[in-house]
Amino acid sequence: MKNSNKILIALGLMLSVTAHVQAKANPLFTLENLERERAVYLNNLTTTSLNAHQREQQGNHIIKRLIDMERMVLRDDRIAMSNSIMAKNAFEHYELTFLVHAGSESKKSPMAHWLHSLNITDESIYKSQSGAR
Amino acid sequence: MITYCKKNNVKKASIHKSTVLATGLTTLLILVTSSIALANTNIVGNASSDWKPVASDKLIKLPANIIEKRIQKDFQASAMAMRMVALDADMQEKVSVIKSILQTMPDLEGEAAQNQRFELVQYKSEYLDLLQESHTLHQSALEKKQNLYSNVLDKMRLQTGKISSNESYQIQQAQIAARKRMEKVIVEVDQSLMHLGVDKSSPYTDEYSKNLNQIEKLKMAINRHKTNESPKVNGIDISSEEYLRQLLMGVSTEQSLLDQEALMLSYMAKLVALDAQALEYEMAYGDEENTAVLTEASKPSNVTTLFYQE
Repeated sequence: MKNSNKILIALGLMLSVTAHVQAKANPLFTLENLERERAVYLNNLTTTSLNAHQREQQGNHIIKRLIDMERMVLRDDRIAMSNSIMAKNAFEHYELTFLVHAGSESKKSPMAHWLHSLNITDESIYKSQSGAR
Repeated sequence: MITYCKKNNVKKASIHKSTVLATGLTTLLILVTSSIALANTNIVGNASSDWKPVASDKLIKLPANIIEKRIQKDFQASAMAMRMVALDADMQEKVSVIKSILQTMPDLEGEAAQNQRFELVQYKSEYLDLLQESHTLHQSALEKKQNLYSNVLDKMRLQTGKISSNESYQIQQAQIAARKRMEKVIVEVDQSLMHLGVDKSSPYTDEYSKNLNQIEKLKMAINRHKTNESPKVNGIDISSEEYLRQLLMGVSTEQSLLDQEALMLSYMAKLVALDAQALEYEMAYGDEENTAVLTEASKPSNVTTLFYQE
């Protein structure tokens, strides 16, 4: 086989492999999943449709999923390449995005950590009033 | 000289030849002297032996050690390199002729020796012309390489600067920092699952840890792959930028040595000029006994007796 042919075949192979490796899906897919799950977790705190036991049980299941999702987001290199504001904010506000891992650092439950990060205390909750925004 | 020649026809012919040789030598002397003047100047090679490398974006994307090889290959295929190779062969030929002349010279005498000396000076002059052209081409090639390496280095730095100021790069750095932070508490988080009453780890955690080991092995294989090898100097891995700086230093070293060689070339040209001048003087004024030796008759004291009678 001629050298030029070999080079062409090698180039073709290289391009096809690279294209295969760089096959693009939505780069923010994992982050969007995490945000959705986080929203569900926070909603779990405020929803009135659950009793304390149900809230705790459901909360634990969500935490388990959050652990995996937080790790997936932190290990997903496509997120950084997306160059999106959503990704930028997620990493800039580690305390609020990665609730379980950040909570573990401060030895708090994810929910307590979230409340603490936003400076929401028992006192401020008592002082608050419900009404139309 | 002409009056002197009239007495002997053979000598006349010989002197005629000498005149021709002397004229040749004068021309040679002028040529050699001019080559001394040119030895220290940078003459750009003619268009037919040129090399025009460009620091293209494609070149910059290559690994540094491949950049060097690519440039070298491009240079070797250029008209300039081909001319240098041809010059080298010509010089080799001239050197062997000069050597053989030098070997036969001690056995020759008289006119034959003089002719041989003339030939020697001529060959030396021709050799110096070739050497000068080769030297000029070397210098030009080095200048081009230096410019090329500098351009590649500048573009590489510009690209690195662009990348580090890039938004994606900033996010990537933030993600790396966040990942490091997460990895510090990963064990604690896994243990906290027990407290939550979830004793079974998730499929993601299981599969991830299984794959992680294999991924590390694959990563090592990629790092070890020769195409992905970082450039090395004295067996030590260095960055592409550092490698290019080393190449630039190599070019400077070669350039300073070439400057030294230019000095040698000018001294050699000076010596050939002196040889040619000596040969010209010898032919013009001859090396015979002084013909103007005064005879007895030319001394008044010896002839005074002829003018009176004692």
